[in-house]
Amino acid sequence: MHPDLHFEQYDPPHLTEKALLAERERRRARRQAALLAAAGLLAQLGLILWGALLLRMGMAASAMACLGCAALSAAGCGLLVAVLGRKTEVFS
Amino acid sequence: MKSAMLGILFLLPVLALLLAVPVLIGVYVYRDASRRGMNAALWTLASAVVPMFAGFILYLLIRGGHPDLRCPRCGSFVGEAYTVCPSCGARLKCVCPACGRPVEADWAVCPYCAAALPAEQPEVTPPERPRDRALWKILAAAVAVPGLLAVAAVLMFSLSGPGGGGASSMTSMTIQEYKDASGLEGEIDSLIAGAEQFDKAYALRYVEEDSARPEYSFVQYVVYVPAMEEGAGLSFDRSGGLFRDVLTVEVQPGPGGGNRLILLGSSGRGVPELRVEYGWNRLDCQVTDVDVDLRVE
Repeated sequence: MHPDLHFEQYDPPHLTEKALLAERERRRARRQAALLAAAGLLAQLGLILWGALLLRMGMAASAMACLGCAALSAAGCGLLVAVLGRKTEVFS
Repeated sequence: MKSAMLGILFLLPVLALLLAVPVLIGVYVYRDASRRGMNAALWTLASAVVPMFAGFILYLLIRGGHPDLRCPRCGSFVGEAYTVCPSCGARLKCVCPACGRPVEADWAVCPYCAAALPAEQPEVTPPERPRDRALWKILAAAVAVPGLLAVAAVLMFSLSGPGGGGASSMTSMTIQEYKDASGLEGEIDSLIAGAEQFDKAYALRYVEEDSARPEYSFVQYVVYVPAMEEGAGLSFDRSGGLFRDVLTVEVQPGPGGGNRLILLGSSGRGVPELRVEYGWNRLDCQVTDVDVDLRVE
């Protein structure tokens, strides 16, 4: 059985240079975000490993490093909330 | 306190490397956000401080709505809605002849005043997006630096020996010999009675803390491996693990059959974890802490 695909019945999607460039930008942003997410995971893994090494050297140093990381995380989360709040105009 | 200071000194180069990436990201974001007319200070802080580069990822996704365009003739920055370059007057976009608003070259009708647009628009030089080579370098650094640090940490683990720097010893004797020598008949009987599975190792552990150095201790293990033969080959090693040292006993299957005990003593920092390997298999270890000295004369 030969399928009849009706190539002449429909026009191909209308492509413009602007649409193609926008698609390229979108894909590039997606690649960059994926790369950064992988880098972030790698950084966390490195921190955990170095934290474990520090634990072997001394509890006090390890506790100080943990506190530092916790403070940095809290500050980062606060900043993210501030940025998104401004962006979505929730806090304005 | 001394060990804490040593730890901080040891971590300083690592911290410097870890901080280098957020600083690079911060400088990049500040320049880029300023060019795009975004809130540069806030985005810089968010990109540099938020863990796991989440702020930077967010910035890269959001900045698409604030394009940085340049005039192809003079190279000055232009807005997305500009129809001509304010610096050199180059025509950047087509305009509707009726209302003068910017329109796309392939539009047939002006979306603002509904006037029909001419099929042939005058020649325009659309604004260009500059190539962003710095971003790829920063992304490469963001992957390479944590990767290097993780590899360095793994190397440090494998190169660093046992955490204490103490000594370890091992011997083996029959159950009866040990009972006679130590007088711990009750403890050994309950150890043997509790050994219900053939593919496990059972051990008694006694930890003696060093009164002069609280983080150091002398640990004694009496290990019973039901599967171990009379003539089994034995070897042991104390090595550094991820969180604490590991005391590994390797039992090579040998001839004969008999009930023997393995006696281990090890001094060093912390209490090492016991690991028993029989041939190529790692056995589960059931360790019971006791408060009697397990040494024999």
